[in-house]
This record gives sequence, structure tokens and C-alpha cells, in this order.
Amino acid sequence: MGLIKQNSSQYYTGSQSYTPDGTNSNALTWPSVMTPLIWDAAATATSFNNYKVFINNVEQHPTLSPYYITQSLATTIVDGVQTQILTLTSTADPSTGVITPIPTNAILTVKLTNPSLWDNYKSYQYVNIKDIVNNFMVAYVGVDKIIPRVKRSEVIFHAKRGLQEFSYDTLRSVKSQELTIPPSLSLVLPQDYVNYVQLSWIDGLGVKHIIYPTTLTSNPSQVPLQDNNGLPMQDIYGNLAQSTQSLTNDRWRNADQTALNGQLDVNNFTDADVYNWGWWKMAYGQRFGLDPEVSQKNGWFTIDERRGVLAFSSDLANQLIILEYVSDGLAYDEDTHVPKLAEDALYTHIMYSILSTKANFPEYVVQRYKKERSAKLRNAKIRLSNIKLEEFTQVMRGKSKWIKH
Amino acid sequence: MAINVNTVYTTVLSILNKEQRGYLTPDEFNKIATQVQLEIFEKFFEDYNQYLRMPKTDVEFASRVDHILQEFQVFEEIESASAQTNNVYTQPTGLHRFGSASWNKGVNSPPIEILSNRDYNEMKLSPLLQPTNNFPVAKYQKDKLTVFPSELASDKTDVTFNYIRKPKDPRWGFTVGSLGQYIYDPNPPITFTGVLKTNQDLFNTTTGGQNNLVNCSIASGSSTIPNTDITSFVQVTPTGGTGASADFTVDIDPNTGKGPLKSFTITSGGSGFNIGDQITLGDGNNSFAGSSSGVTVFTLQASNFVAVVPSEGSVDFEISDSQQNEVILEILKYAGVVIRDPSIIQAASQELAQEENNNKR
Repeated sequence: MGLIKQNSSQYYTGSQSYTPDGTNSNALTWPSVMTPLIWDAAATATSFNNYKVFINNVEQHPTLSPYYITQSLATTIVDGVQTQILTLTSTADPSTGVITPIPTNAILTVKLTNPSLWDNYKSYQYVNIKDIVNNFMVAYVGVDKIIPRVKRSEVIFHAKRGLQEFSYDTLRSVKSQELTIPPSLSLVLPQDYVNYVQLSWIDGLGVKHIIYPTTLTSNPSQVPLQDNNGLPMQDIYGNLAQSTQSLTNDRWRNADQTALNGQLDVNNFTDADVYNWGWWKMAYGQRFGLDPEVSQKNGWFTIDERRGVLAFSSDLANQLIILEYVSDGLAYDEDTHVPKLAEDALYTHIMYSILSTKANFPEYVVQRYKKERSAKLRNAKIRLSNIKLEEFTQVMRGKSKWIKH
Repeated sequence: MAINVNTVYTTVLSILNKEQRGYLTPDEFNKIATQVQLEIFEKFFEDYNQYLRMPKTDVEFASRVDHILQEFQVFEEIESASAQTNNVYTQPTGLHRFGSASWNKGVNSPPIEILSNRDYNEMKLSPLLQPTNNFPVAKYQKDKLTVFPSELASDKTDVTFNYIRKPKDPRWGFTVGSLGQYIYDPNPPITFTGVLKTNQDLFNTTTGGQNNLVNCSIASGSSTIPNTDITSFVQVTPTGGTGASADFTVDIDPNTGKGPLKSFTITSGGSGFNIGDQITLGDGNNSFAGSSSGVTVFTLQASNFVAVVPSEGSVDFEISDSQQNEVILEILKYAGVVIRDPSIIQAASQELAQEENNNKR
């Protein structure tokens, strides 16, 4: 049996059409192979959901004449089979009190919204962590196998830990957010942030320019208030009294970046008066060469651990940026999936992790799986680094180096 | 395939009688047979464990593991919990050895991991191991599973138990012949006859003479007494069961063709009746026996039924017929104890030991 359960229409359109029964209330069974519908029944009829309802291609909502559709979604799992029934109910016209049922010749369509549809599009390249655990228990655990018996929770633990480790350097699970830097020059770290990969500002052509971290300044983790003797002050509870603002940060925010990176402004080129030497021009001859670390005009950022924000230099105010970062793959339910190219590496990771923690287990077997894990992880990294020979050759052509292929 | 209890009993009797060693009564046989079947049944699981640790073959008919699995597959049951309160599920009543449990609130019914109280307390401290519907866990205490996550618990069908039940007690049932001899009764034993006792006056009155006697047959649903004089007002309606073909004699006042009722006697017991079935007389307008509601209702009680004869009905051994030899030898061993003959015990024990040795070699 193939792994694909959805038919073409379900996959590409993410929608299902129904024929109304002519009554005030239509109960529609959502196909179980499709992305489940989400609707918070405790909220209002217009609350968050991942689908829309159309009648003859007109999107419906509770205030739209003539049907004034309200909805309720019942999700049941009986004997392991999930069934979702979406009930659409025509309600009374507020002005006339007349209830208009959806006619039987109308076409009722329930369609997933774009984010859910997009998730569905890419779903085949991943395998769920639930399936990883189930597959592992079937194929690697049992009588006459290397692992005769193991707790399911142990497998779940190692699978999740493996996913976390893989997320940092093996999987292509880099997340990115498009943000605008506010005048405060600070952006809160994303909820599932573990580490950054790259920050770039976007120019008018949509081209990325890398923003580098800087060591020119730093963010204090504590800003204690001091008395005249320099001693830290305490609040009425005896705790350290701290300022909410760091002066270092303030000065950095107000710093003239051209004074730091040596960038010349237009006056430096147009002022032809060689005798017009201000006191500051006396320092001209002192810039011997450029320090590459600071000789760039893309701006800088630091991570302010005290406030949990990314702090940017003043020249980046109001700039559009892209923040690329890694998470650990466990933050959200929909994140807990593994690229199929790394599936085998995860099995061997679980295998090795379990064997290496077992007492009285032959060390040579443990070592065998250690090597196997390492080899498969390397394979996964190579696969996921997405090296294509033609693309590689093209890059090398730019370097005036010929590679035969 | 099960072992016929009569085959075993007659074989045992033949061996015992041939050697002039004595007689084993059906009651003694039934008790010994139950004990022997349980012994062999319990040994399956120890043998299974032992075979799993021995070198194995997957050649057909030669695999001991496959063989032992076939021996106890008859006793394997898959059943929902017998009761549920919040997230606590009571195991099925017939559970003898717990196998596994699955959580039907998870997609594709994932297995429930059984944890000790200590393991569960440790697990719930780990953010990575929080139970979900895909990875449910449970504590197994006092014959109940406390399942986590608990939010979706709703019905006893949420949890399916896979377990081994105990075999039914074998029984050699008999009827007594005209000469007082025991005749093997191959029918399954019954716990309830469903047949009404005849010549029993449900109304239990002795007054009045012979009046308007009417016979009627009761079928499921409602039945009307087939006498044109009183058809219009007498109904006999059994409710609650599938009883049929019982005949009654109704004795009422001949002058008015109406109540008061004098007797209501069963003349033919029919079949399929249950305790609690109700038989209603009346048409709603006329009274019998002074009933103000116009109807008289008889509710059948245990005493209205023909009693079960305890010795009748047989139950075969449920263990497979490949164990027949062992069953007979074990029964002979115990029979030797019962009739106090050490030579039988010794002979049977030797035979069993040899068989055991061969199996485990």
C-alpha cells in the first residue's frame, strides 16, 4: 500500500465539496486523510480556524445574507479512527427572522486556508516523530533482536533528543522571520528561538545584506543602582535594585556609525579646500588600512540576554530584516517531524543511545552502533546540505575554475 | 481443537477398570479435570518463556514457540474495559493474564505504556516525556488502569485490553437412565431453563368453581385470548423477553364475562421466558381481581420456572487436543491419589516426566 492517502484533488486544492441536504443544518464529514480541521469551539463562531466555507464560491460568515451560517466542529476518535463532522447551520435573518436553508442545487465547499494547505504540500518530505517511534519499536525491538525489550518512553525520549540535536546542525530546519526594526532598535527573540543563523537587512531589490554581530559593545546582564560610594543599592525587600535601562545600550543606540566603521560621507569628497582642516582632520593620517571586522556598513547587532532581545545599531532603524534561526524541532506539534533523508540516521541514533545506556551490554556492539550512527549522520548531513553537481559547477564557473561533469 | 471430555473420562475409566483399580465418579473426575487443565494451562506461559530463551527454528511444525502460541491463542481475548470513571478504566472481568492495552482516543489506537507509580512520578517531571494521545501511559493498580493524558477520557471503550482468560472448567455431565446408570449428556449446561412450571396458579386463589375456561398461547408481543365471548376485553401480554408457546387457563366470572379473576394457571411451559417478564391481563376498562387500573400484571419469578438439573450438560477441555495424552496421564496420576494406588501415580508420573524431558531437550 502506498504512503500517499490523499487523492490529487485533495492534495492540490485542499478542499472538499458537498451537496446540501436542503435542511437548515448540514452535517459534513471531513475526509480523515486530509489535514484535520481546526476550530476552537469554545470561542465564537468566527474564531480562529484553518478553513473557510463557501457556498457557490462565496465565502460564508455568520453575518452574511441569506444563510447567516454558523458552524460547529465535532472531532471524535473511536477505535483509533478520527472523524470530524462540521455542522453548518443556517440561522435567522436578524431583520426578518426568516431562516433560509442552503438549497440542494448549491455547491458547498470547505477549503483549507493557505498555511494549512502549504503545510500539506510539503508534508511528504517529512516523517512524523510518532511514526519514527512506532517504526523503531516494530523493526528494532523484540525477541531475537539486538534490543529485546525497551520501554516505549525511553524510545520517545531518545527520538526527541535526537531530533533536538539534529535540528541544530543536520536538519534543514532553519526558521526565518521577516521583521521591521522599530525605533527602539530591539526585537524580541522568537518564542522557539535556540540560536541565530543569520540576520540580514533587505534592500529595495529584495537582496539580503548580512548584519554582523559586534564585539564593539556588549550588553550588561545586570544594571545595579549604585549609591554615592559605588555600592549596589537594595530595594525594601533586600533585593538588588536595578535600573531598567543600560547606559551602555543607550550610548550604542545613539552612536554615529560612520565614526565606527570609517565610512566617508559625501562632504569628505566634495570639500576641495585643502586648507580647510578642522581639528578632526588632523587624525586623517592615522587610519592605517582597514579592520575588516568593522569596515562594513550593514549595521551590527548584539543579543541582550538581560531583556531577551536582539539589539541593533542605530543605522538599522526602520529597516526590513530577515532573522534566520534554529529551533529544536519540538516547540510545536507540527514541528515534530524529521526529513526523510535523515530518518535512518535517527533510527541509529536511538539505537546507539539505548544500547550505550544499557548495563552489561557488550561494548563491541555499542561501538558498532556508535560508528553506524556517525556514518549515517554524516550521510544525512551530506544529503541535507543539498549539493547538486550542476549548481556546484555553476558556482565554480564563476570562480573561473572548470570542473568536468 | 478442544478435547472431548467424554473421550477423556471413558479412557481414564477404561484404564482404571482394566487394572481393577477402582472407579472414579463423575464428580471426582470433574474436580480432577479442572485441576489438571489449569496445571497444563499455567505451564504454557512458563514453557513459552523458556522456549523464547532457547535456540529457535522457524521450520513449520518444528517451532516450539509457534506451537506453544497456538496452544494458548484460544484463551486470548480483546475486550474493552468493564467500567470507566474519569480516566480510570476497570479491567475486563474475565482477565487472567494481562497482555497489553491500547488507547482508542489516539489515532490508530497506540499501545498504552504501563508504568509503576514511581516511574510515572518521574516521567511527569520530564518535559520531553509528557503523555499525549499518541504516547499514552497508565498506572495499573487494583485491577484498574489510570490512563494519561486524562482529558479525553469519556467511555469504557476508550481502552482495549488484550488478555488471556482462564479456561472454562471441564465437566462430564449426565442424565440418569432407567436403571440408575449415568448417561453422558453432550449438550452444553444451562443456567436457566426459560420454561414455566406447569399446573401453577399464578393468581394463587382457591375460591370459585369451574367457570369460563379459556386457553391461550403466549408469543412475543401481545396475544389475545381466542374466545369470542371475552376477546374484547382480555389481553395476555408478555413483556421483556422472547417467551413463546406457553398455555394458560383463565378462570373468570361466566355471567358477566368479566372479572373478578379466580385463577390463572400455566398448562404448558413454553420456552424462552425470563425472570422479570410481565404477563398482563385486561383491556384497560375492566378490572381483574379488583385492580383499579383495569389490568392485572403477573411478574415472573424464579419460582415460576422449571429448575436446572445440576448434573446435566457437559463442557469439553478447552486446551488443544495435542495435550490429550498429558491430560489423561495427569488425571490418572490424581486418580491414583484418590483411589490410593501408588503404582498408578508412579506409572503416570514416569510417563509424564519422560514426555516433559523430550519437550525441553
